Amino acid sequence: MSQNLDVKKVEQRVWRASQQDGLMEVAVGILLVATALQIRVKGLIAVWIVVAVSLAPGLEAIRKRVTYPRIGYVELVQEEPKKTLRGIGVYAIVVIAAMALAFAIFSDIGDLTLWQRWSPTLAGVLISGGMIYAASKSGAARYTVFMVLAVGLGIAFSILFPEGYTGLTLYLLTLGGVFILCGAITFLCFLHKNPLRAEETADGAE
Amino acid sequence: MAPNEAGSPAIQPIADIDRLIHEPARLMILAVLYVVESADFLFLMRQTGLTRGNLSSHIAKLETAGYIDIKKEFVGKIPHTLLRLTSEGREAFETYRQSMIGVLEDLGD
Repeated sequence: MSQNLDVKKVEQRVWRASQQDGLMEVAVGILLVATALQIRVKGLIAVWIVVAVSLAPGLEAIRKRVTYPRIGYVELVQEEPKKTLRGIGVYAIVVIAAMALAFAIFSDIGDLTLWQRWSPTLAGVLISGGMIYAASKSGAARYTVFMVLAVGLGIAFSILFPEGYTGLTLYLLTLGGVFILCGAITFLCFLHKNPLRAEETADGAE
Repeated sequence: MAPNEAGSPAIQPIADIDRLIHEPARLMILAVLYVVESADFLFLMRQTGLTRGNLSSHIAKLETAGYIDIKKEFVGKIPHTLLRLTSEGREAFETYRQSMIGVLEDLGD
């Protein structure tokens, strides 16, 4: 009975069920790749904006056709937008301040090349914030793996590519590629595990 | 135990438990709806593991009690049933949870 009363576990199970199609990972990956291309190729900001704006409606359109007929539709409880933005803002400020403090202690805070070099690490820690949130909401281990990967690759690319924004571009391309690949594999597994049955397309409720 | 202790305050909360929610299938339905804004029939069916007929009968009882709100619509030619917890249902579920926690604590090991 106590398991039935554990609302947090029910919430995590529902969250996992709603994200089991892997499409969110694909969307995040596309955004990271688009960001990398925008950094590399000047004048792509308009393309980036189109990609960023169309991702959420695109994701929902695919889910309507593919995901919901297979596992049903659920609308998760939405966090208050102001609260979410404040949380993201505070997290970003804390991370940037921590990095600035580290630069001030060990080197020169005003050195732009230093900020460029360690931008993959900064991006990794910022992205890991989203993964921490997803891991706490779902209780799924894969988000913890993504979190470690985001930070680990960030540090590795900062060390391997110290010149300009090359490290950041390659980091975003690599991490974006990993997200797209993992999401695509998850999506294929989801389709295999949840074939569309005729009787499940109609809910048949009285 | 003395006969007059049967209705003692210590065990009285057991009698006050909402029997409509106490049924496992309905408890599962309410627990899922408690943590989401809304869910459709298919999602509930898969989450609870109940059959179509079973789920239909339980949600009908919960709707009659005013615990859930059912919205029926058509997506193309396909019927679609969307369910959400009413404020009364949310309150009843919270009360039930607190009652059960209290009862289980009172019963001890």
